[in-house]
Amino acid sequence: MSKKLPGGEMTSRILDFIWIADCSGSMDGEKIQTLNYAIRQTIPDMRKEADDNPNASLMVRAVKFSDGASWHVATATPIDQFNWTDLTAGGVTSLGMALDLVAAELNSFPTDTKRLPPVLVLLTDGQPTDDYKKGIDSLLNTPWGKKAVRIAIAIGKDTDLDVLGQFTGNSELVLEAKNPQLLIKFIKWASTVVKTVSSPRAAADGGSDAGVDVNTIPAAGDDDDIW
Amino acid sequence: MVNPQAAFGAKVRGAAHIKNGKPCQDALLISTDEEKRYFAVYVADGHGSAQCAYSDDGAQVAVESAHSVFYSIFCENTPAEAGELLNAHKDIWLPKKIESEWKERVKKFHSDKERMLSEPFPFLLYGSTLLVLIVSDGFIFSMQLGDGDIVSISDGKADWILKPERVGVYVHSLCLENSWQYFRSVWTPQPEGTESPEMFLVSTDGYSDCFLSDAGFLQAVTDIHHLFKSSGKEATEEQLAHWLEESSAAGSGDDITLAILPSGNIV
Repeated sequence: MSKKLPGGEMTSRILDFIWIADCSGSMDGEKIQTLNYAIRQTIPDMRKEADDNPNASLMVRAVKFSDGASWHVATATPIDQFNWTDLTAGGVTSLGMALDLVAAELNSFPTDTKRLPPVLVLLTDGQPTDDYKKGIDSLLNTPWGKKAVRIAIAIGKDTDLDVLGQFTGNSELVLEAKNPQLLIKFIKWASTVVKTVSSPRAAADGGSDAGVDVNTIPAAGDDDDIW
Repeated sequence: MVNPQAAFGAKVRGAAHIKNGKPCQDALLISTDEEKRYFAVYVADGHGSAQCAYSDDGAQVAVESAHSVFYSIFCENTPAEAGELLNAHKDIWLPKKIESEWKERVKKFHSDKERMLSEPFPFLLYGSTLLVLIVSDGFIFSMQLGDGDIVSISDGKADWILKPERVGVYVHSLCLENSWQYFRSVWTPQPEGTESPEMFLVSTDGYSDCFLSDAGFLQAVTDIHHLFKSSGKEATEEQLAHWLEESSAAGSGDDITLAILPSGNIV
Protein backbone atom coordinates (compact mmCIF):
# COMPACT_ATOMS: atom_id res chain seq x y z
CA MET A 1 0.00 0.00 0.00
CA SER A 2 1.39 3.38 -1.00
CA LYS A 3 2.26 5.67 1.89
CA LYS A 4 1.84 8.86 -0.09
CA LEU A 5 -1.35 9.68 -1.90
CA PRO A 6 -1.04 10.75 -5.54
CA GLY A 7 -1.05 14.44 -6.29
CA GLY A 8 -0.28 17.76 -4.69
CA GLU A 9 -1.33 19.28 -1.41
CA MET A 10 -4.85 18.41 -0.29
CA THR A 11 -7.17 20.63 1.63
CA SER A 12 -10.73 21.04 2.69
CA ARG A 13 -12.39 23.85 0.81
CA ILE A 14 -12.55 27.30 2.33
CA LEU A 15 -15.99 28.78 2.98
CA ASP A 16 -15.80 32.51 3.66
CA PHE A 17 -18.67 34.00 5.64
CA ILE A 18 -18.83 37.79 5.98
CA TRP A 19 -21.26 39.77 8.13
CA ILE A 20 -21.75 43.30 6.72
CA ALA A 21 -23.35 45.31 9.51
CA ASP A 22 -24.91 48.77 9.45
CA CYS A 23 -23.82 50.80 12.50
CA SER A 24 -25.42 54.10 11.50
CA GLY A 25 -27.15 56.30 14.07
CA SER A 26 -30.60 54.94 13.23
CA MET A 27 -29.45 51.50 14.40
CA ASP A 28 -28.88 52.83 17.91
CA GLY A 29 -30.77 51.18 20.74
CA GLU A 30 -32.74 47.98 20.34
CA LYS A 31 -31.73 47.34 16.73
CA ILE A 32 -27.98 47.19 17.33
CA GLN A 33 -28.50 45.34 20.61
CA THR A 34 -30.61 42.70 18.88
CA LEU A 35 -28.11 42.41 16.03
CA ASN A 36 -25.24 41.86 18.50
CA TYR A 37 -27.27 39.35 20.49
CA ALA A 38 -28.40 37.39 17.42
CA ILE A 39 -24.97 37.15 15.80
CA ARG A 40 -23.49 35.94 19.07
CA GLN A 41 -26.26 33.35 19.30
CA THR A 42 -25.41 31.94 15.85
CA ILE A 43 -21.85 31.03 16.81
CA PRO A 44 -22.60 27.65 18.49
CA ASP A 45 -24.85 26.64 15.57
CA MET A 46 -22.23 27.60 13.01
CA ARG A 47 -19.62 25.63 14.94
CA LYS A 48 -21.89 22.60 14.83
CA GLU A 49 -22.42 22.97 11.08
CA ALA A 50 -18.65 23.15 10.67
CA ASP A 51 -18.19 20.03 12.79
CA ASP A 52 -20.73 18.18 10.67
CA ASN A 53 -18.80 18.99 7.52
CA PRO A 54 -15.09 18.71 8.23
CA ASN A 55 -14.36 19.07 4.52
CA ALA A 56 -15.21 22.75 4.47
CA SER A 57 -13.22 25.25 6.55
CA LEU A 58 -15.66 27.91 7.69
CA MET A 59 -13.84 31.25 8.04
CA VAL A 60 -15.74 34.24 9.41
CA ARG A 61 -15.10 37.97 9.32
CA ALA A 62 -17.18 41.12 9.63
CA VAL A 63 -17.41 44.60 8.14
CA LYS A 64 -19.09 47.55 9.88
CA PHE A 65 -20.24 50.72 8.18
CA SER A 66 -21.53 54.12 9.29
CA ASP A 67 -19.52 57.32 8.49
CA GLY A 68 -17.12 55.07 6.64
CA ALA A 69 -16.49 51.35 6.49
CA SER A 70 -13.90 49.20 8.20
CA TRP A 71 -13.27 45.61 9.16
CA HIS A 72 -14.79 44.74 12.51
CA VAL A 73 -13.18 41.30 12.28
CA ALA A 74 -10.43 41.74 9.71
CA THR A 75 -8.79 38.34 9.79
CA ALA A 76 -10.60 35.35 8.35
CA THR A 77 -11.21 33.50 11.60
CA PRO A 78 -12.01 29.79 11.90
CA ILE A 79 -15.49 29.53 13.41
CA ASP A 80 -14.21 27.60 16.42
CA GLN A 81 -12.06 30.66 17.31
CA PHE A 82 -14.62 33.27 16.34
CA ASN A 83 -16.07 35.58 18.98
CA TRP A 84 -18.35 38.56 18.54
CA THR A 85 -17.46 41.95 19.99
CA ASP A 86 -20.51 44.18 20.26
CA LEU A 87 -20.97 46.93 17.69
CA THR A 88 -22.10 50.41 18.62
CA ALA A 89 -24.15 52.76 16.44
CA GLY A 90 -23.64 56.34 15.25
CA GLY A 91 -23.16 58.19 11.97
CA VAL A 92 -24.46 57.81 8.42
CA THR A 93 -24.90 54.77 6.12
CA SER A 94 -21.83 54.27 3.92
CA LEU A 95 -23.00 51.04 2.33
CA GLY A 96 -21.06 51.62 -0.90
CA MET A 97 -17.78 51.87 1.02
CA ALA A 98 -18.57 48.65 2.88
CA LEU A 99 -19.22 46.77 -0.36
CA ASP A 100 -16.02 48.21 -1.88
CA LEU A 101 -14.14 46.82 1.11
CA VAL A 102 -15.67 43.37 0.67
CA ALA A 103 -15.04 43.45 -3.10
CA ALA A 104 -11.35 44.25 -2.55
CA GLU A 105 -11.07 41.32 -0.15
CA LEU A 106 -12.77 38.87 -2.51
CA ASN A 107 -10.54 40.08 -5.33
CA SER A 108 -7.49 39.17 -3.28
CA PHE A 109 -8.43 35.47 -3.14
CA PRO A 110 -5.99 33.39 -5.19
CA THR A 111 -7.83 32.31 -8.33
CA ASP A 112 -6.54 28.74 -8.42
CA THR A 113 -7.53 27.74 -4.88
CA LYS A 114 -10.56 25.56 -4.26
CA ARG A 115 -13.04 27.71 -2.40
CA LEU A 116 -16.75 27.41 -1.94
CA PRO A 117 -18.88 30.41 -2.89
CA PRO A 118 -18.62 33.00 -0.10
CA VAL A 119 -21.68 33.85 1.98
CA LEU A 120 -22.29 37.60 2.41
CA VAL A 121 -24.96 38.71 4.86
CA LEU A 122 -25.88 42.40 4.81
CA LEU A 123 -27.76 43.85 7.79
CA THR A 124 -29.08 47.39 7.44
CA ASP A 125 -31.98 49.58 8.51
CA GLY A 126 -31.70 52.58 6.27
CA GLN A 127 -30.95 54.20 2.97
CA PRO A 128 -27.37 54.41 1.75
CA THR A 129 -25.83 57.87 2.04
CA ASP A 130 -22.96 57.22 -0.36
CA ASP A 131 -22.58 55.81 -3.87
CA TYR A 132 -23.93 52.32 -3.07
CA LYS A 133 -24.26 51.48 -6.78
CA LYS A 134 -20.50 51.72 -7.23
CA GLY A 135 -20.05 49.33 -4.30
CA ILE A 136 -22.51 46.81 -5.72
CA ASP A 137 -20.84 47.03 -9.13
CA SER A 138 -17.39 46.52 -7.56
CA LEU A 139 -18.67 43.46 -5.74
CA LEU A 140 -20.43 41.91 -8.71
CA ASN A 141 -17.42 42.55 -10.92
CA THR A 142 -15.29 40.21 -8.82
CA PRO A 143 -15.50 36.51 -9.73
CA TRP A 144 -16.24 35.51 -6.13
CA GLY A 145 -18.66 38.38 -5.54
CA LYS A 146 -20.70 37.19 -8.49
CA LYS A 147 -20.72 33.59 -7.22
CA ALA A 148 -21.36 34.55 -3.60
CA VAL A 149 -24.55 33.72 -1.77
CA ARG A 150 -25.79 37.25 -1.01
CA ILE A 151 -28.45 37.68 1.64
CA ALA A 152 -29.83 41.00 2.90
CA ILE A 153 -31.77 41.56 6.09
CA ALA A 154 -33.74 44.79 6.17
CA ILE A 155 -34.14 45.95 9.76
CA GLY A 156 -37.33 47.93 10.28
CA LYS A 157 -39.56 49.53 7.69
CA ASP A 158 -37.38 52.40 6.43
CA THR A 159 -34.92 50.29 4.46
CA ASP A 160 -34.63 50.74 0.72
CA LEU A 161 -35.59 47.25 -0.43
CA ASP A 162 -34.70 48.04 -4.03
CA VAL A 163 -31.09 48.65 -3.01
CA LEU A 164 -31.02 45.35 -1.13
CA GLY A 165 -32.53 43.57 -4.14
CA GLN A 166 -29.67 44.90 -6.27
CA PHE A 167 -27.23 43.53 -3.71
CA THR A 168 -28.77 40.03 -3.53
CA GLY A 169 -29.82 39.77 -7.19
CA ASN A 170 -32.85 37.86 -5.92
CA SER A 171 -35.76 39.52 -4.12
CA GLU A 172 -36.46 36.28 -2.21
CA LEU A 173 -33.17 36.74 -0.40
CA VAL A 174 -34.17 40.18 0.91
CA LEU A 175 -35.65 39.45 4.33
CA GLU A 176 -37.72 42.08 6.09
CA ALA A 177 -37.18 42.00 9.84
CA LYS A 178 -39.92 44.20 11.20
CA ASN A 179 -39.31 43.40 14.81
CA PRO A 180 -36.57 42.00 17.07
CA GLN A 181 -37.93 38.44 17.01
CA LEU A 182 -37.79 38.32 13.22
CA LEU A 183 -34.32 39.84 13.16
CA ILE A 184 -33.07 37.07 15.43
CA LYS A 185 -34.80 34.40 13.32
CA PHE A 186 -33.42 35.78 10.05
CA ILE A 187 -29.88 36.14 11.36
CA LYS A 188 -29.98 32.56 12.63
CA TRP A 189 -31.36 31.36 9.30
CA ALA A 190 -28.69 33.23 7.34
CA SER A 191 -26.01 31.55 9.40
CA THR A 192 -27.38 28.10 8.45
CA VAL A 193 -26.85 28.79 4.76
CA VAL A 194 -23.29 27.55 5.27
CA LYS A 195 -24.76 24.05 5.43
CA THR A 196 -26.14 24.33 1.91
CA VAL A 197 -23.06 25.94 0.48
CA SER A 198 -20.62 23.57 2.16
CA SER A 199 -22.40 20.41 1.04
CA PRO A 200 -20.10 18.54 -1.31
CA ARG A 201 -22.79 18.67 -3.95
CA ALA A 202 -25.47 21.29 -3.81
CA ALA A 203 -27.95 21.98 -6.53
CA ALA A 204 -28.80 21.81 -10.13
CA ASP A 205 -31.24 24.17 -11.67
CA GLY A 206 -28.94 26.97 -12.75
CA GLY A 207 -30.35 29.72 -10.55
CA SER A 208 -28.48 32.62 -9.05
CA ASP A 209 -29.03 31.91 -5.37
CA ALA A 210 -26.27 29.28 -5.15
CA GLY A 211 -28.53 26.53 -3.93
CA VAL A 212 -30.18 28.34 -1.03
CA ASP A 213 -33.55 26.79 -0.26
CA VAL A 214 -35.80 29.83 0.13
CA ASN A 215 -38.57 27.58 1.46
CA THR A 216 -36.61 27.31 4.71
CA ILE A 217 -36.68 31.07 5.35
CA PRO A 218 -38.64 31.67 8.58
CA ALA A 219 -42.13 33.00 7.98
CA ALA A 220 -42.83 36.58 9.08
CA GLY A 221 -45.90 35.44 11.04
CA ASP A 222 -48.53 37.73 12.48
CA ASP A 223 -46.27 39.67 14.81
CA ASP A 224 -47.04 43.35 14.90
CA ASP A 225 -44.52 45.61 13.24
CA ILE A 226 -42.72 47.54 15.89
CA TRP A 227 -39.78 49.05 13.98
CA MET B 1 -3.30 5.16 -33.31
CA VAL B 2 -4.43 4.83 -29.73
CA ASN B 3 -4.50 1.05 -29.24
CA PRO B 4 -6.75 1.37 -26.18
CA GLN B 5 -6.79 -1.22 -23.42
CA ALA B 6 -9.53 -2.23 -21.02
CA ALA B 7 -10.44 0.50 -18.56
CA PHE B 8 -10.72 0.02 -14.82
CA GLY B 9 -11.83 2.23 -11.99
CA ALA B 10 -13.21 2.67 -8.51
CA LYS B 11 -16.09 4.47 -6.88
CA VAL B 12 -16.01 5.40 -3.18
CA ARG B 13 -18.46 6.99 -0.80
CA GLY B 14 -17.34 10.43 0.34
CA ALA B 15 -16.03 11.01 3.85
CA ALA B 16 -18.71 13.63 4.50
CA HIS B 17 -21.40 11.29 3.16
CA ILE B 18 -20.24 8.54 5.53
CA LYS B 19 -20.37 11.01 8.43
CA ASN B 20 -23.82 12.28 7.46
CA GLY B 21 -25.28 8.88 6.54
CA LYS B 22 -25.74 9.73 2.85
CA PRO B 23 -25.28 7.14 0.12
CA CYS B 24 -22.70 7.36 -2.64
CA GLN B 25 -24.32 9.38 -5.42
CA ASP B 26 -21.77 8.61 -8.16
CA ALA B 27 -22.13 5.97 -10.86
CA LEU B 28 -19.54 4.28 -13.04
CA LEU B 29 -19.98 2.05 -16.08
CA ILE B 30 -17.09 0.68 -18.14
CA SER B 31 -17.81 -1.14 -21.36
CA THR B 32 -16.45 -2.48 -24.58
CA ASP B 33 -17.86 -4.51 -27.46
CA GLU B 34 -17.23 -8.19 -28.08
CA GLU B 35 -14.48 -7.50 -30.61
CA LYS B 36 -12.90 -4.89 -28.32
CA ARG B 37 -12.97 -2.32 -31.10
CA TYR B 38 -13.68 0.49 -28.68
CA PHE B 39 -13.55 1.12 -24.95
CA ALA B 40 -15.94 3.39 -23.11
CA VAL B 41 -16.12 4.98 -19.67
CA TYR B 42 -19.33 6.57 -18.37
CA VAL B 43 -19.26 8.48 -15.08
CA ALA B 44 -22.10 10.39 -13.44
CA ASP B 45 -22.36 12.44 -10.27
CA GLY B 46 -25.79 12.82 -8.65
CA HIS B 47 -26.19 16.27 -7.13
CA GLY B 48 -27.08 15.02 -3.67
CA SER B 49 -28.76 18.17 -2.41
CA ALA B 50 -32.05 18.06 -0.54
CA GLN B 51 -33.93 18.88 -3.77
CA CYS B 52 -32.27 15.93 -5.53
CA ALA B 53 -33.28 13.11 -3.19
CA TYR B 54 -32.94 10.34 -5.81
CA SER B 55 -29.82 11.63 -7.50
CA ASP B 56 -27.94 8.39 -6.78
CA ASP B 57 -30.55 6.65 -8.94
CA GLY B 58 -30.35 9.49 -11.47
CA ALA B 59 -26.59 8.99 -11.79
CA GLN B 60 -26.98 5.25 -12.33
CA VAL B 61 -29.66 5.84 -14.96
CA ALA B 62 -27.36 8.43 -16.59
CA VAL B 63 -24.49 6.00 -17.18
CA GLU B 64 -26.88 3.30 -18.40
CA SER B 65 -28.65 5.72 -20.75
CA ALA B 66 -25.39 6.93 -22.27
CA HIS B 67 -24.12 3.38 -22.62
CA SER B 68 -27.31 2.38 -24.39
CA VAL B 69 -27.02 5.22 -26.91
CA PHE B 70 -23.36 4.66 -27.73
CA TYR B 71 -23.53 0.85 -27.65
CA SER B 72 -26.20 0.80 -30.33
CA ILE B 73 -24.08 3.10 -32.51
CA PHE B 74 -21.12 0.75 -32.20
CA CYS B 75 -23.21 -2.36 -32.78
CA GLU B 76 -24.61 -0.98 -36.02
CA ASN B 77 -21.46 0.56 -37.49
CA THR B 78 -17.80 -0.10 -38.08
CA PRO B 79 -15.48 1.89 -35.79
CA ALA B 80 -14.67 4.26 -38.65
CA GLU B 81 -18.34 4.84 -39.41
CA ALA B 82 -19.15 5.20 -35.72
CA GLY B 83 -16.39 7.76 -35.35
CA GLU B 84 -17.78 9.77 -38.24
CA LEU B 85 -21.27 9.58 -36.77
CA LEU B 86 -20.09 10.80 -33.37
CA ASN B 87 -18.25 13.69 -34.95
CA ALA B 88 -21.20 14.64 -37.16
CA HIS B 89 -23.82 14.44 -34.40
CA LYS B 90 -21.90 15.41 -31.27
CA ASP B 91 -23.46 18.87 -30.92
CA ILE B 92 -27.18 18.25 -31.37
CA TRP B 93 -28.47 14.76 -32.12
CA LEU B 94 -26.30 12.89 -29.60
CA PRO B 95 -26.94 15.15 -26.59
CA LYS B 96 -30.63 15.29 -27.45
CA LYS B 97 -30.74 11.49 -27.69
CA ILE B 98 -28.97 11.08 -24.33
CA GLU B 99 -31.23 13.64 -22.63
CA SER B 100 -34.40 11.98 -23.92
CA GLU B 101 -33.11 8.48 -23.11
CA TRP B 102 -32.29 9.56 -19.54
CA LYS B 103 -35.64 11.26 -19.04
CA GLU B 104 -37.62 8.28 -20.36
CA ARG B 105 -35.67 5.86 -18.20
CA VAL B 106 -35.99 8.09 -15.12
CA LYS B 107 -39.76 8.24 -15.60
CA LYS B 108 -39.97 4.47 -15.90
CA PHE B 109 -37.69 3.98 -12.90
CA HIS B 110 -39.82 6.38 -10.85
CA SER B 111 -42.97 4.56 -11.85
CA ASP B 112 -41.48 1.11 -11.18
CA LYS B 113 -40.49 2.25 -7.70
CA GLU B 114 -44.04 3.56 -7.17
CA ARG B 115 -42.71 6.93 -6.09
CA MET B 116 -45.06 9.86 -5.80
CA LEU B 117 -45.99 11.38 -9.15
CA SER B 118 -46.45 15.06 -9.83
CA GLU B 119 -46.78 17.33 -12.85
CA PRO B 120 -44.51 18.39 -14.38
CA PHE B 121 -42.35 15.35 -13.74
CA PRO B 122 -39.82 16.20 -10.99
CA PHE B 123 -36.61 15.45 -12.90
CA LEU B 124 -34.72 17.61 -10.38
CA LEU B 125 -35.09 14.75 -7.86
CA TYR B 126 -32.80 12.69 -10.10
CA GLY B 127 -30.36 15.46 -11.13
CA SER B 128 -27.00 14.24 -12.31
CA THR B 129 -23.97 15.19 -14.37
CA LEU B 130 -22.51 12.94 -17.08
CA LEU B 131 -19.02 12.31 -18.39
CA VAL B 132 -18.34 10.10 -21.42
CA LEU B 133 -15.00 8.95 -22.83
CA ILE B 134 -14.86 6.63 -25.83
CA VAL B 135 -11.55 5.56 -27.26
CA SER B 136 -11.07 3.58 -30.42
CA ASP B 137 -7.97 3.00 -32.52
CA GLY B 138 -9.01 5.77 -34.86
CA PHE B 139 -10.47 8.44 -32.58
CA ILE B 140 -10.99 9.81 -29.09
CA PHE B 141 -14.42 11.11 -28.16
CA SER B 142 -15.24 12.99 -24.96
CA MET B 143 -18.55 14.40 -23.88
CA GLN B 144 -19.43 16.24 -20.68
CA LEU B 145 -22.43 17.74 -18.99
CA GLY B 146 -21.67 19.53 -15.75
CA ASP B 147 -18.53 19.27 -13.67
CA GLY B 148 -15.90 16.55 -13.45
CA ASP B 149 -12.63 15.97 -15.24
CA ILE B 150 -11.62 14.14 -18.40
CA VAL B 151 -7.84 14.18 -18.71
CA SER B 152 -5.26 12.63 -21.01
CA ILE B 153 -1.51 12.18 -20.57
CA SER B 154 0.94 12.57 -23.42
CA ASP B 155 4.72 12.58 -22.97
CA GLY B 156 4.18 12.41 -19.23
CA LYS B 157 2.19 15.66 -19.23
CA ALA B 158 -1.43 15.69 -18.06
CA ASP B 159 -4.04 18.06 -19.43
CA TRP B 160 -7.80 18.27 -19.72
CA ILE B 161 -9.42 17.08 -22.94
CA LEU B 162 -12.39 19.27 -22.10
CA LYS B 163 -11.76 22.34 -19.99
CA PRO B 164 -13.48 21.73 -16.65
CA GLU B 165 -16.59 23.64 -15.73
CA ARG B 166 -16.18 25.52 -12.46
CA VAL B 167 -19.22 27.65 -11.81
CA GLY B 168 -19.52 27.61 -8.06
CA VAL B 169 -22.21 25.50 -6.43
CA TYR B 170 -24.44 25.13 -9.47
CA VAL B 171 -23.76 22.63 -12.14
CA HIS B 172 -25.32 21.81 -15.49
CA SER B 173 -27.47 18.75 -15.20
CA LEU B 174 -29.49 16.19 -17.12
CA CYS B 175 -32.54 17.27 -15.14
CA LEU B 176 -32.65 20.69 -16.81
CA GLU B 177 -35.09 21.43 -19.58
CA ASN B 178 -33.19 21.17 -22.88
CA SER B 179 -30.12 19.98 -21.03
CA TRP B 180 -28.70 18.91 -24.41
CA GLN B 181 -27.70 22.53 -24.95
CA TYR B 182 -25.18 22.36 -22.12
CA PHE B 183 -23.29 19.27 -23.30
CA ARG B 184 -19.74 19.92 -24.47
CA SER B 185 -17.82 17.45 -26.59
CA VAL B 186 -14.56 16.91 -28.42
CA TRP B 187 -13.87 14.41 -31.18
CA THR B 188 -10.21 13.92 -32.07
CA PRO B 189 -9.17 11.70 -35.01
CA GLN B 190 -6.18 9.47 -34.39
CA PRO B 191 -5.03 8.22 -37.79
CA GLU B 192 -2.12 5.82 -38.06
CA GLY B 193 1.16 7.56 -37.29
CA THR B 194 -0.46 10.02 -34.84
CA GLU B 195 1.21 10.53 -31.47
CA SER B 196 -1.61 9.39 -29.20
CA PRO B 197 -2.04 9.84 -25.45
CA GLU B 198 -0.65 7.17 -23.14
CA MET B 199 -3.51 7.21 -20.66
CA PHE B 200 -6.92 8.76 -20.02
CA LEU B 201 -8.57 9.48 -16.68
CA VAL B 202 -12.19 10.34 -15.99
CA SER B 203 -13.21 11.49 -12.52
CA THR B 204 -16.02 13.19 -10.67
CA ASP B 205 -15.31 16.64 -9.22
CA GLY B 206 -14.96 15.06 -5.79
CA TYR B 207 -11.40 14.13 -6.76
CA SER B 208 -10.13 17.41 -8.23
CA ASP B 209 -11.83 19.27 -5.35
CA CYS B 210 -9.52 17.46 -2.91
CA PHE B 211 -6.54 19.45 -4.08
CA LEU B 212 -5.49 22.93 -3.10
CA SER B 213 -4.98 23.79 -6.76
CA ASP B 214 -5.53 22.46 -10.27
CA ALA B 215 -1.80 21.80 -10.46
CA GLY B 216 -2.16 19.44 -7.50
CA PHE B 217 -4.88 17.52 -9.32
CA LEU B 218 -2.83 17.23 -12.52
CA GLN B 219 0.07 16.05 -10.38
CA ALA B 220 -2.19 13.25 -9.09
CA VAL B 221 -2.89 12.21 -12.66
CA THR B 222 0.80 12.06 -13.52
CA ASP B 223 1.58 10.21 -10.26
CA ILE B 224 -1.01 7.56 -11.16
CA HIS B 225 0.44 7.36 -14.64
CA HIS B 226 3.94 6.80 -13.21
CA LEU B 227 2.71 4.12 -10.87
CA PHE B 228 0.90 2.37 -13.70
CA LYS B 229 4.06 2.43 -15.79
CA SER B 230 6.28 1.20 -12.99
CA SER B 231 3.99 -1.25 -11.19
CA GLY B 232 1.35 -2.22 -13.73
CA LYS B 233 -2.40 -2.35 -13.84
CA GLU B 234 -3.00 -4.79 -10.97
CA ALA B 235 -0.99 -2.79 -8.44
CA THR B 236 -2.67 0.44 -9.51
CA GLU B 237 -6.14 -1.08 -9.40
CA GLU B 238 -5.48 -2.61 -6.00
CA GLN B 239 -4.66 0.75 -4.42
CA LEU B 240 -7.17 2.91 -6.23
CA ALA B 241 -10.13 2.70 -3.85
CA HIS B 242 -7.88 3.27 -0.84
CA TRP B 243 -6.38 6.40 -2.44
CA LEU B 244 -9.79 7.77 -3.23
CA GLU B 245 -11.13 7.15 0.29
CA GLU B 246 -8.08 8.77 1.86
CA SER B 247 -8.27 11.69 -0.57
CA SER B 248 -11.93 12.28 0.18
CA ALA B 249 -11.19 12.30 3.91
CA ALA B 250 -8.27 14.71 3.49
CA GLY B 251 -9.97 16.91 0.92
CA SER B 252 -13.40 17.38 -0.58
CA GLY B 253 -15.39 14.92 1.56
CA ASP B 254 -17.34 14.18 -1.59
CA ASP B 255 -17.93 10.84 -3.30
CA ILE B 256 -15.15 10.11 -5.76
CA THR B 257 -15.20 8.05 -8.92
CA LEU B 258 -12.07 7.61 -10.99
CA ALA B 259 -11.70 5.53 -14.13
CA ILE B 260 -8.41 4.89 -15.91
CA LEU B 261 -8.15 3.94 -19.55
CA PRO B 262 -4.60 3.09 -20.59
CA SER B 263 -3.48 2.92 -24.19
CA GLY B 264 -0.95 0.63 -25.81
CA ASN B 265 1.38 3.61 -26.15
CA ILE B 266 2.09 3.59 -22.43
CA VAL B 267 4.40 0.56 -22.63
